[in-house]
Amino acid sequence: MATYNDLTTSIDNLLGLSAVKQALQLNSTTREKAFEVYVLSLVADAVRRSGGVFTTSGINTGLNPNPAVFRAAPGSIFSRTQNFCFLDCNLNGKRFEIHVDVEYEGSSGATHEMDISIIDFSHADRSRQGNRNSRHATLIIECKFFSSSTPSIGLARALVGLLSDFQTKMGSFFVSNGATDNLKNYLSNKGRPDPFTDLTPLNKSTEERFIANVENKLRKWASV
Amino acid sequence: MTEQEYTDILDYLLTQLRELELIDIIEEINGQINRGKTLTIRDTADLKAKKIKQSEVGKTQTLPLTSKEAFEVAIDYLSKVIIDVPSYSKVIKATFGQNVVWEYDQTQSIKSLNSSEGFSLDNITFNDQEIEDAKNELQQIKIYTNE
Repeated sequence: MATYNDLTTSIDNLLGLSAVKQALQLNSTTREKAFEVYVLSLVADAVRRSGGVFTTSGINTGLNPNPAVFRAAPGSIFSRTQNFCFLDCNLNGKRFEIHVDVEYEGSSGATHEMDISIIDFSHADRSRQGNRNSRHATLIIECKFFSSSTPSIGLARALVGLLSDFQTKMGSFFVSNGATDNLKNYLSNKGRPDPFTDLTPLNKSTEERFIANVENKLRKWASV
Repeated sequence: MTEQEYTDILDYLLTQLRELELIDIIEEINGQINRGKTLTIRDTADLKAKKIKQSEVGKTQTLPLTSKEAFEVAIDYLSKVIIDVPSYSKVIKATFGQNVVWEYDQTQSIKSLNSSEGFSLDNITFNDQEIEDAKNELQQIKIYTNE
């Protein structure tokens, strides 16, 4: 039977590790942004598995930028103030891009930030040429790292509201590494964003399920 | 362990975190604990099991956490920050290489200019052995609380 002393010893051992102290010192933005690019990596894997190819591209330098620069805050797809990168993809003759943290203009005219989005190359290019946010997101993925505001129903409602401002050809996902039961129930209804609320590299089955789901959407959309 | 002992162990954990000046983490944990828990009714059997009257169906009940539940919430949150985040770096590195950075778009606002310090993959990459040790220690804590 465990005792108070057993637990204090374990807590001391845990907090005595320097890697633990470093991890706990990360701020919430760092955790959120790392989670988004982790999810982007899985989406890239889905492109590859569906038979497509992708290359990393920097808006200023083109192919294989070094370093790969991601946004620490949402911004415009046409911004060139940093060499922001995106994935330039081709699947069955369809050229498209995958972006992190870019803004889109909804049919209402409102600006919305998308954590991860897929957009046709032609629409993305027109946006860059015209210095204007695109209205055409093909797939939207909302990412949420578990924090004091444990992903709850409010976030899902906001995403459903946002989706009403767009016509996404491939649909949408809500991904997080934790969620309330209420949120899970809300997203279980048909027509809501596909939920993946326990996505982590430590849970390979959920990762696989997410990648397979994105892959299926890509295949259907590109008629593969 | 008794509820009082769980109250004490949670106090101990928060005190240790405060000594490490991890104020944001303490606030996150307190935020989670203060949310309490909601009762979700799945079906009629669940209704009976939770001793809820039919007339109360549809009303979401929010209840405070017990001390044991509050401690488990704290440990669960610490696990996600300590174990999940470093594991992202491996996946990101495999896709985009070692040289990955996050930068602010400095044209957007004065506020952005003032907080334009980005970060890199190195910031979320830690000693593998220590993360493994942390995983084992967290697992041990969960075993203790399940006893």
